[in-house]
Amino acid sequence: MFVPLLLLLVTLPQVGPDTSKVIPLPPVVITATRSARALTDVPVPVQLVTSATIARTGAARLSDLLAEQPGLLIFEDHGTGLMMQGFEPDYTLFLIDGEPIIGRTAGTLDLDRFTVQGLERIEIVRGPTSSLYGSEALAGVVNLIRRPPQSPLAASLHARTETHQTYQLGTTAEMRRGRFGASFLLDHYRTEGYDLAPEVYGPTAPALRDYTADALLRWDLTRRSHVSLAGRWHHQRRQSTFALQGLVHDEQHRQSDWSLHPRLELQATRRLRLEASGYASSYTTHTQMTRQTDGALYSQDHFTQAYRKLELRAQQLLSDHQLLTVGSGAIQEALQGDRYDRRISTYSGFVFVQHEWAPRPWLEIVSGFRFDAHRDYSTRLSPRLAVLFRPADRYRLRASIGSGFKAPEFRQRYLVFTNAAAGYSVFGVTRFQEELRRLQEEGQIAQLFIDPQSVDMLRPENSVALNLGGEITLFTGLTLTLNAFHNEVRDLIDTQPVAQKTNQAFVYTYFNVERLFTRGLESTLTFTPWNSLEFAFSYQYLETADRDVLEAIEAGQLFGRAPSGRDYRLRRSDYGGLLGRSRHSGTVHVRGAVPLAGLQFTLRGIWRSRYGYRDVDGNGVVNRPDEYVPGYSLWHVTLERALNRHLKLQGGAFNLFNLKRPALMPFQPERRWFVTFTLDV
Amino acid sequence: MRIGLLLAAFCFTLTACDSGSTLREDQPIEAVTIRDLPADPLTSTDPQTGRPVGTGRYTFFSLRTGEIVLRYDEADRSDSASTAWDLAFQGTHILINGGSSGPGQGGAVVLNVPFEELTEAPTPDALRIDGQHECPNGVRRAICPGSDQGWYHYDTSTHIITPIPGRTIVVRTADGRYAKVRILSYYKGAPDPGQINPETNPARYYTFEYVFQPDGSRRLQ
Repeated sequence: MFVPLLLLLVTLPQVGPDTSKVIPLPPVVITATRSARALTDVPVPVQLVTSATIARTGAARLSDLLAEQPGLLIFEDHGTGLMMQGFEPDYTLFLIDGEPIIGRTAGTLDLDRFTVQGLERIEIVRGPTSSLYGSEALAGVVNLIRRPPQSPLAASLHARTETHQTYQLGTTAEMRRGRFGASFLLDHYRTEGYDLAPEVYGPTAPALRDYTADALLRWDLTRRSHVSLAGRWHHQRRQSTFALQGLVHDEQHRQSDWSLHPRLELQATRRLRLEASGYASSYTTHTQMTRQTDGALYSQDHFTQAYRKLELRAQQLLSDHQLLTVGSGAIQEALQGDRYDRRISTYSGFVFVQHEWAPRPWLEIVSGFRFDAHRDYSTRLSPRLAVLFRPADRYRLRASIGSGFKAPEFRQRYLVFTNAAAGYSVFGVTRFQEELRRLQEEGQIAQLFIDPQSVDMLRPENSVALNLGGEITLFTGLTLTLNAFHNEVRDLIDTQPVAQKTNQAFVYTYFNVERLFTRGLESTLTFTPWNSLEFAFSYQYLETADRDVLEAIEAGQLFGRAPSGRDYRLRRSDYGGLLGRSRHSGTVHVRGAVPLAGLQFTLRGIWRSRYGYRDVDGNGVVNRPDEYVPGYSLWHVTLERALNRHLKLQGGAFNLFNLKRPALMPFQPERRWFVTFTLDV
Repeated sequence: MRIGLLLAAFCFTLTACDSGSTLREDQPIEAVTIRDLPADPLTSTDPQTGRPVGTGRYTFFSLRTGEIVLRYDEADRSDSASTAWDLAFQGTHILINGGSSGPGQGGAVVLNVPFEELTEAPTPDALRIDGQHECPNGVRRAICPGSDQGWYHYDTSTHIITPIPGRTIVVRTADGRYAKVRILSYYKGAPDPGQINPETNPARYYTFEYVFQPDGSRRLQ
């Protein structure tokens, strides 16, 4: 068992699906260490969403799919984002086939952008993984992995209809001819949106048209080597109306993104594997608001982002059960937008090293670091050490300590913005000196609060995190996994006034100021009494806090105001932590089959306790009951029946019990019924 | 048991303040609540920007008499240069009668101490004076303007101004005596901050409570 495991490291990527049917190997994951490892033997917590799970839930978009996975919560902020280990969506890195997905709005990568079609699996790594992937991997990494071409010739058609005049039509095709394989995906999704508050003019969620095209071409070379080229194009249009001072306005939002990903994997010797990959991606948005009566422009905003990356990687299997991975790369990023006074182009470079070592059959140690250097913010070293103990086959113990970082956002680096109505200005740090000098020369600065020379480079927001957990298979069919985490986050970036203008308004720039922590416990219990029935329960306990708030509470300097008007000194237990974080949350999954009727069903429940969403009494923190959104649960059900060898019918409901909170949760649609036909040939 | 005792003591203190009954044998001082003092409410619309505006003038108030000396909408502004007033209100701005704002001996300081717990005004050197003491955002004011700088917090998403709980303004009146002030609301009718309706509760109406010490000492209990 021991020696083959390490050999797997290099050979497993080539194990086809036909082989896995014969030998019941544990599923293999590649994201946590960038080497193929059995899911059960990765030293950091990894969660796997397989294509079978994706198909069973009946979800059309990635947001619906991830929302019901254990330990993951949805965080709404300029889109539907993912909250992992108590981090806002800004701090989770999303990859497609190992390459970063770009295009965030206010830090949120909108999960409604992604169809779940064409995915082989989704790997979710918990804990900072900047030691391999660099920026954004503080909370963890979500890797969307395309289905590689496997069949000589196969195609499928997918048609789905849902409440709110939502339709999805998609097709996938794949082929293999000798050494060449190709797979394609086309997906169209449209919805007319919904209106939870008819008394307010305009829809709650806009009408939406979404198109995705994806292709993967692959040539197998000799000796387990191959070349591949993947490409993706996506376009989305949203159409909405709103009333402004009694006048109806149209709002149109368009976004397009594409990516191209050529890759060469070469088995140079039996023990050395080389990989070269290029990645180019672009993301463009355009928002326009016009008055309906005469088409007069109220506002518009353009934004374009481009990302190019070249990365080389070598993996050497050393003697004595060691695997060494080294990599380096360069990234070019460019952006242009109405809030940036010019086109910005910037470069960064990185190197990373990782050492995987199994000194004993029951022990594996993974250590590594990555060094990121950027022109416009401080360099960053991100180490990680992870250890796996395997005292017996039924037990796994994992401990890891690591550091993650998130590069300062574009606006924090490059923004040049003056609010015409209010007169204030905000400058990104790299533009601050120059813009302030300009204002001074124009005689617009009344006084400075700080020495402008002290505004230097920003440090990336960064964390140190500890994950400690493991899993126990109590008996065949019953498995418990646990993971305790603590993330200490520093250097969070916020604006501060630095000067006052002659018009009394202020000039702001960005500083590393805030500190926070998130900590908690994630647990899952899966129980499979027999093959056709499975239960899975998960529970997460979460504590979050702003360190400065805690200090103020300890010093007795923070107060609340009760509805009676009385002021009271806040205690630690009065503080509700960061906004949007539920202290308790959990999921329930039940999967079963009714053999006689040929029916399969899944029932999924999501539950979360109350979470803070506003400050009412002016102290800037959540402490009063009316500052919380009450807890809730959502239930989804999906039924599935194979009509014949080719045709499958699926139906069900999301939000079965019709939870509706127009004011507090406008992003939560009412109950949605859906029916899907799938044709496989 | 201990909590119960504390609560009882607390309630007793409150009643003592509110009713003005003596806790000691000293001269009684009363807590007064002023409701809906208009601080230049938004009455007209700027012809250029279309945004609601006020007159830009202050309402002057005397802590000594508990009455308005000069309203923002009175044409004759002569009383503004007198020592008849102690505090002047316009929007979120509060001036004291001293330094660059008036001829009096006024001063003030915003303390992070609950109203009931503040039993004595700080020594005169801790008091700030308009035109002399600089605020974090550069303005020279006794009571600093700006969100979280002085008495209020401004919520950028709801645009609501809320008095910061636990902040007490110690004021030296125009004639050199002391008072402590707690702002309760910035909205007409003083609704609970979670229940503010901009239509029925227009902004720029101060509700505040204060204790004035007539004997000239710094004792504020």
